[in-house]
Amino acid sequence: MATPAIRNAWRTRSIFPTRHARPITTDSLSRKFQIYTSQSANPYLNLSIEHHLLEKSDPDSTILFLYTNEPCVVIGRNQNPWTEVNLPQLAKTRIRHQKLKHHLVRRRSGGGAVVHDSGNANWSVIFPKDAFDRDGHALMVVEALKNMGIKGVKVNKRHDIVQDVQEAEGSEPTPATNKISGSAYKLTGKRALHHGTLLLNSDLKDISGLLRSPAAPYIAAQGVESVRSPVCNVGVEDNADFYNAVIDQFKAMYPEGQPVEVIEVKQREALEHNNIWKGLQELLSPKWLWESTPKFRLSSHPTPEDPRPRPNPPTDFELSLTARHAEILDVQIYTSDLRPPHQLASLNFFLKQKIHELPRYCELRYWDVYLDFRVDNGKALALRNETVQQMCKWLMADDMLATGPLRGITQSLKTTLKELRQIRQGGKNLHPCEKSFGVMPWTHKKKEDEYDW
Amino acid sequence: MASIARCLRAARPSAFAAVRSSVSRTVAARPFSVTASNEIRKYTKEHEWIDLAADKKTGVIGISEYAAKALGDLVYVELPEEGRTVNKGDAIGAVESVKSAADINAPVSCKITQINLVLEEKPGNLNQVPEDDSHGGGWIAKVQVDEQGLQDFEALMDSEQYNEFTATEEH
Repeated sequence: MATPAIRNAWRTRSIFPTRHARPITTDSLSRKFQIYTSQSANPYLNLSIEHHLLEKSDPDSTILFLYTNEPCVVIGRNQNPWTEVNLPQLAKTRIRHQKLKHHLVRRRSGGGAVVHDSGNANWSVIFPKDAFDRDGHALMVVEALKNMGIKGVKVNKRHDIVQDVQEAEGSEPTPATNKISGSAYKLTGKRALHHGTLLLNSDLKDISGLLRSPAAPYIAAQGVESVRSPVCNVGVEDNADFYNAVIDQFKAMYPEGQPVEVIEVKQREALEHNNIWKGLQELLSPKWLWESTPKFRLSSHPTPEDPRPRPNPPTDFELSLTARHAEILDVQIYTSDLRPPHQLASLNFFLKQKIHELPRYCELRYWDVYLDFRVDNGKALALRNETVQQMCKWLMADDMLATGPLRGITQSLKTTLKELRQIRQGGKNLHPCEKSFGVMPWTHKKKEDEYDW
Repeated sequence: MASIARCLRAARPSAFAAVRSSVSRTVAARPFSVTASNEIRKYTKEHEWIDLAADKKTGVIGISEYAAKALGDLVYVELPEEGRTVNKGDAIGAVESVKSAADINAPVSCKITQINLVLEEKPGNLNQVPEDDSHGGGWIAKVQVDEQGLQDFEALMDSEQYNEFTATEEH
């Protein structure tokens, strides 16, 4: 590789004068205070390292873990990807015209959906559950930002870190704020985890689009819905400056633990831990990503339970689908095109199928669907082939279940796992993008107008 | 919050009494040869409860009123998987409130036989009646308990010990 200097530039830029690149060990996990940073930018791996620290550290210890992910959309544990994420956009957006796409990740903690890129710094604190408090460590990050000279930062009632909207000089101060970091928590038997992602110099252009799903107006979902907030960057150029400020503040918050060394976790060494690998396999499984989705109902037209007006309902039929844990429980249709007309019927073809295992629309064999189309008393009905086609097309289209993009995303889970397995088994410690391009795509930042989008 | 929890605890025996009396009424209506199923309730340090039926083979599990109160408004309950056999302490599900996902751990080794699907629709039931094992209550799962599960059960706290335990946990 001809570009080691460039390759490492992003990682080594002034991060940690006193760093110790060494593995997580039983000894390091047993200390009262621990600080780790991750060299990896893989969101699945970083969340798995975090989970390992949560599970295996001494129950009385307090841990700070800092990492930055490559572009990804991260949803909360009990969220619905079909309503929270614009799946077709996620599947097709290429970051800065490189091969790399956004990952889709379901994390283990609660809360809402966020978009990550290299301009986000993730901070995570693991501590005993007895000391659980929703604001304590968000305030620690606020103090760190203040020490960096950033003004107007505070924690709001939703436990988010927000910054006052900067006013032109001389005008009255307004109560408006922009969110700069969320908060999410995970509680186990004895331990608590509080993490957030701070917008330092993120590319905000894509964020709102990726988090707006075209299917959302049609779906009534159980589980957790994200709360939209206006966001902004705090304008710190170098993630390492923020890391150092948080580390200093963590040390100031827990002075009794000094000195604490900063352990920098290497990707390869992290992958060799069996427990981290186990967690990684779970996060990268379609079962975790899709089948943890709470029950939802998609209806093409307003219903008594979900009377919201639909933006663009189909005219020839009414259709509703119920799914729990991504398994289709019921597809009901109502159309004048039936013989006899105006009957409620089920499309049996879809029953018991997993949404993410459905074929792409173009691969669907209509004959299968057509034969499996019955009213509830079991009597077969005649239906025009075009109507069946229309219904399947509408249901599986990118605006609804997005079965095409789903397949792509599921495939990229497999690819990521395969690549990480190669690294674990002793392949080169390189990111796939580095292999293809010799450089991490975001280390070389071009100006906006250099792109032809 | 501690004080609210204390008030609730003080109020609880009467609530219990109501549930118990309704149980005994139904029992009284049965033929006398059927044994009354006076279940025993025990608690874990992680704030789960388990009712063991008199036959010592089946039970009902849930999370305690103290924990439900501490977690705040629950927005989703992730139920265990039916038919799964678990060891004591295994995470079998989770509850989400105010951005926090909190694990529910198995109080004893057991097999999950039935889950309370109503909670998926109405997670609020867990806030209102977390220790109610009737229909519409906040119970989480019905379980089958084996020999190992019985041993685990013996080691748990009864309600008096649990009340003392939570009293010392408050700050």
